[in-house]
Amino acid sequence: MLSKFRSTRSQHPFRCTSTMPQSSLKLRRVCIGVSGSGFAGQAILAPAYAPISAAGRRATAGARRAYIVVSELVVLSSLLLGFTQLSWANIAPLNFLLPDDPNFVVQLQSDRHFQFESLNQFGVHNIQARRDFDDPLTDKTIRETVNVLQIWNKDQSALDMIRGFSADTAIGELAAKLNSANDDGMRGHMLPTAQLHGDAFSGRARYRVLPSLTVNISVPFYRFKLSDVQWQDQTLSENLPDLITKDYLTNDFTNNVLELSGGLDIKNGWSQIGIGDVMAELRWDGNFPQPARPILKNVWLSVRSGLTFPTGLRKNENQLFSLPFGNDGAMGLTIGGGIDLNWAKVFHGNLNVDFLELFGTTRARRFKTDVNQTDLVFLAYEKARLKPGITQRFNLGVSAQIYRGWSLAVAYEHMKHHSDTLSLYNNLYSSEIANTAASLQGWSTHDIIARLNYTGRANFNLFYKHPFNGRHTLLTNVVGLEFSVDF
Amino acid sequence: MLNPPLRIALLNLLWLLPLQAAKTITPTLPAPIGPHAYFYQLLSGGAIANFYVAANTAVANNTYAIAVSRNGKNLTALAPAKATVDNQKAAANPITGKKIARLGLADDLPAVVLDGEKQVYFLHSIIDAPTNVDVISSGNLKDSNGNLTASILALAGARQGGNYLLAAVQNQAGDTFGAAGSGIALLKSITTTVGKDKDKALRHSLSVLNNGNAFSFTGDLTALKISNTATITSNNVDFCWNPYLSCVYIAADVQAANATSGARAVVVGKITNNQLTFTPIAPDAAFSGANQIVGVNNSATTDVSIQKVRTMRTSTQLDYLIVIGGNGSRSAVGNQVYALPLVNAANSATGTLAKYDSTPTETSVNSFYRARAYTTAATSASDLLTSSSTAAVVGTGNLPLAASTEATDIFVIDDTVFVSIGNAYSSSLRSVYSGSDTPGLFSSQALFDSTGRIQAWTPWQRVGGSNEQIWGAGYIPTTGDFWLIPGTDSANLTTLQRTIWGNGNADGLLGGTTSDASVGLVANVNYPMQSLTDYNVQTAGFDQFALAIATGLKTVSLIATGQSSGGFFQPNLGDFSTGAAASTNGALPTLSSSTKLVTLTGGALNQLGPVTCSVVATAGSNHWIIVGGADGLAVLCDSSGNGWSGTISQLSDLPSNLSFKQVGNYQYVTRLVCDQNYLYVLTNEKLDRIPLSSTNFANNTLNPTTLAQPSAGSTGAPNTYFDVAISGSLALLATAQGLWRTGNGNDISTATNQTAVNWTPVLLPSPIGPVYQFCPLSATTNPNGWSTLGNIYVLSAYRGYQQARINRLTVNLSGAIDDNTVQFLPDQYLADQLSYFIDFYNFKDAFNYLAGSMYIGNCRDNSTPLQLQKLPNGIHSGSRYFNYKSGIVTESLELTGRLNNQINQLALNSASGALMASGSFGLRVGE
Repeated sequence: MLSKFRSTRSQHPFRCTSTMPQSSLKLRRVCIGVSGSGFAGQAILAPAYAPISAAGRRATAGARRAYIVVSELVVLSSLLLGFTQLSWANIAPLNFLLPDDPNFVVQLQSDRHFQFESLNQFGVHNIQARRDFDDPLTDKTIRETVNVLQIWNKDQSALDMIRGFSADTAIGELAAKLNSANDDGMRGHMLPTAQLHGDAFSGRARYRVLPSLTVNISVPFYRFKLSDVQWQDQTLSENLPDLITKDYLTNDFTNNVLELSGGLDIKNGWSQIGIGDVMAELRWDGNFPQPARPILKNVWLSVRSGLTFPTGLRKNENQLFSLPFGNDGAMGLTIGGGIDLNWAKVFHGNLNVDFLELFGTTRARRFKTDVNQTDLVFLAYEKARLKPGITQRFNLGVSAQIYRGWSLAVAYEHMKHHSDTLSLYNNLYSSEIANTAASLQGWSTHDIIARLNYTGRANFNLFYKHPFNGRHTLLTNVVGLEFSVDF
Repeated sequence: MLNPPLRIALLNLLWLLPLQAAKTITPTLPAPIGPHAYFYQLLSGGAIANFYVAANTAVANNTYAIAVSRNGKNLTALAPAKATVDNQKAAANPITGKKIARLGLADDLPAVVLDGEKQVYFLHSIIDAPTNVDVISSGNLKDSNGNLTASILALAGARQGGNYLLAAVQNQAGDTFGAAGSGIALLKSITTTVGKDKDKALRHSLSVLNNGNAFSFTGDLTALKISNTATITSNNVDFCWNPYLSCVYIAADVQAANATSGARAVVVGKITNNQLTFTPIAPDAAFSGANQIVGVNNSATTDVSIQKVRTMRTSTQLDYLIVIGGNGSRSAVGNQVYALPLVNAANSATGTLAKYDSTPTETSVNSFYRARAYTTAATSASDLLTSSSTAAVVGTGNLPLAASTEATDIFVIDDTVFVSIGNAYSSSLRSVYSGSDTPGLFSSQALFDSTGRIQAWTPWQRVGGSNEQIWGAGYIPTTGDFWLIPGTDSANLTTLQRTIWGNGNADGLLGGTTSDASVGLVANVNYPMQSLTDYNVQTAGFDQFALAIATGLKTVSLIATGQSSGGFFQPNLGDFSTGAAASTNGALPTLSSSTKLVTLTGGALNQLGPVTCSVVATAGSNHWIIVGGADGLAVLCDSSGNGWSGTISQLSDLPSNLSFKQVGNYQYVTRLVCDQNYLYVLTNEKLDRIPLSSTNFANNTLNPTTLAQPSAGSTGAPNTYFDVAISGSLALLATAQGLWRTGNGNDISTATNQTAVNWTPVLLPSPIGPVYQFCPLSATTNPNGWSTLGNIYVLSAYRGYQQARINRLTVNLSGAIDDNTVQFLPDQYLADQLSYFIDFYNFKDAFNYLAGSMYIGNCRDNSTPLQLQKLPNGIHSGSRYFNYKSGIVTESLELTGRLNNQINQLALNSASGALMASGSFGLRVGE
């Protein structure tokens, strides 16, 4: 029976399992969901990670099946829970794979205690964005692939930008001056475009603290560059409101914004390299061979939980389309699990569900002051508390071994982030309005990942990630190389 | 957000429907219209109105012998052949096909007297019409002596714990009303339950109270006579029930017994315990002489004639008696309309004339303002307004009607009195609206002082957009339109019409001829308009001529809205295409006597860009048309700087060598005002006063005096200007920093600089910051005459917060400007705290109070169609938390090409009375 486990890793392109212990070390552990039950210590709990006790070796196939059923229930429960209230997240709108992406988690070899992994992602071309909006006229949702600066709105309404401020402020005086100018869909509309390119690198260290329990620490790095920023004024010159809008607002739009906002630079791009949010995770893996089954040969379960630390570069409120390299200063709690099935030692299928709950943070932020305001340029900058919504990640993959350690895999990954909530510390503005910002609304991603995988003493993955659809997200096409090595 | 072309397409689809031009209310009536009655009722958040018409000719099987148009919709027949008559179902309807002699309304239910009959039929239920109506009859009425009356002279209703009807009846002999036996019969609709259990049924009856006898109403009536028995001199009796005061006003033509006696032509009737009692409109001692409108005493002139009586509850919540007639015989007062204050406090004097100069009393509940009332009754002669009192004379003068004739109808909506005139044009006098008969519907609006009392009235102004003789009219509160009964023969009035908003498509008015819309004004000024301004026939430089100036992008149109025709000043209607001229070099093209429209482009207008405003400027006998735009100012003048001298009576009277010439160096001109030989130019950052001079125009040396401009370092001073109103020494300046006026003791017309103006803030109650627009109401025909007893509706609007409010000011400039020159109307919400009049809870671009309705233009954000909204009726002091969405009927405007993005203040076509809305959509009319 043990020999069957030995080959598991090479047959598992999505989630490489560790080689089964070849010694007679007997391990025992308790599984989530059945802790303290009569199953504890039985062989069904031990095959991959626990030194097999005598009792375990005597375990019956029926008990093993029972365990699988229970384990599946645990996963399904987690999945259900995730759909309803739990979360996972990171800088997902960036649409790079995260360091803990389940497609690249490699199981430690049983005789090793330390693993290092590197995940390197390179943007294939300039990043685009996915925008959708509900058209009030047709009651339909329009979805479009657009320039990154149009991720939330087709264009930016300079007139709406200056609304929501008291008339006795500098912004309000300008708004009053432009009283006669309504937003007719053209007047005051600035069409922004820019080129955004990004790459992501991450390193992950893994240390076995118990035979089936590992500690993972991952550190991502990002490199982004926003360039070639252009603003095109859509305002016509047909009437007085058009002309004064141009004269007082849009002809020198970028400088006006710089002055009115107290420093928001929308004229120039930026280039940044920095660290993302460090993540520490405790992970349990359990491998359960199915020798009695004709097709299903192995079931591998995992459960993990951890924390993300706000080490990442935070959003620069005075930069155009500034991107945080993490959760923008928020600490997070992750929880997730997965199941991996091996059929006929050739095919694999896996399902992973992860959630992230982020804690709120308070600092000065830019926010929306008028319900019609577009999202790229907010002039208001005040102390506010942001409570991010929950995030969920679902991953479904299949793979096939094509030649010895080589396999081809394809996976679908979906992330969904629920709406964030902003609470203002200033009663001059409305939190209700602020929370109508499209940038605070939920986002989602859909990605197809194709991989060529080699598993041996070290593991390599050459992959391509193709985003499609999604809501309020960047569409980042990525080629990447992942490798890991155990020590 | 959709791309603009798609939005345009979708929105066009959505808003095509309102563009209709139907005017005649269908179906065509089988018999001409005879009696008609108008029902109007304020409800929470708005009002409803129905217009009843009755046949003046018997036509067999005419189920429209009585018919109603509800809220301007098609007629519903109220005389079906079978009806429930005196509780008998499916009985032959006695009204069907008959000629109706009298028509009255009790609440919203009609009562009729058939021609030749002496009983009243009351339709106590018309909810199932036209399928069925419930009719109850009174039986023949008796006079006050218990004898069968000779005739029922007038019929009206009242609602006070049930429906009552009042019928003025002659005595049996048919003597003139007022002779012994004459009286007012009081009838009541009574519902009783008969039978028990399954047989239980409701039975309806129309009972004549007072044992079937009329209540005596003769010249000996204490409430009517003063000292000695007076004489009622005609059979003309009119009623008006006031639901607020629970009394009926009975008007008649009376004559005092002699020069040492007196008489009252209006008597107050009250219904108490099913009995009708009569109260003097004012005590004997209050009448002295022959100028107190509703009464006379101790005067050689002994006649007092009140032809029609109505009441008004103002927006300041005071009640007034409105009458047509006055001191004199009936043939001498037909063109006089007066307003007299009424006691509307709950005391013994309720409903009688109030001491006009007493301060109204305000009542509150839990510190919230609730009501305002005159509480002091008039007791002496000095307590009553007279026929020369500015506050009493509705329309500031006589109706455009010969005194010997009579107005055909009168009704009151909110602060406005409407009177219809059925006379054809006739007079040797050609002064407009005075001394000559001018047909149509006319209105006058009350102007208030700081206590809420009426202090003056706007001059009579034609409304409704019709040039026809009007025999009856009503107001449609849901849209601000009018029912009209037009015709040249009062015995053959075949149609009931209504005005309607839209492009006037082939309506025979501004929408073209009845067969060709393409020749109409609407079709021929079909370009995005930046402004549309009316200049009435009283404008200096005009003789029997009225003009409207439309402006657009590098474009100016001169529209002759009215001129002499057939010897009378009449509106130009129908064909504006014939003789229309255009130029592309900014010069006046060759015009002919048939030219009603000339459009100028090019030349100096190209330099102006969007032309945003215009003015007809006058200095002595010299006149100019001056326009302002985004990039400057241009004068229509010849090479010597002259416009025209003397007067013009048609467009072709303009000198042929005029062309627009750019003068000065201005940017973003938003308002031009001409007053006292000066041109005031308001830009968004400057107010200049320019002496009007041909030489200066010729030399382009304007010699402006800058009266306002932002001052560096003067915190709180205005730095963006939106509107200006100038009248004599007083200027009001609407700015982003609130409302400002000329300082005390200063004079805008003589100030040499900004310091000399001493701009002084007018601190609006509950301000929102920017003051955006003025809507002045003047007691004179001069649009700049608002400083004398005028009112100004001030629109404060700030798009930054999507807010807009209306405050009301009263202005009384007499002598030097002081702190009392500009005061607020007493609009309150919290007791004893001035407040705004209306809060829209949204931004509004334009506000007008015209033709009895308040309108707002709403140019909203994010591609929502433009809207022209009529506010609900009945807005009054204390309506502070007026919900702008409730009760407003929206007239959307057709979209053309680019999304509409501009709507201007409405203009009233002073010649025809049509309302004109202009904006990026072009022109729309309410006529």
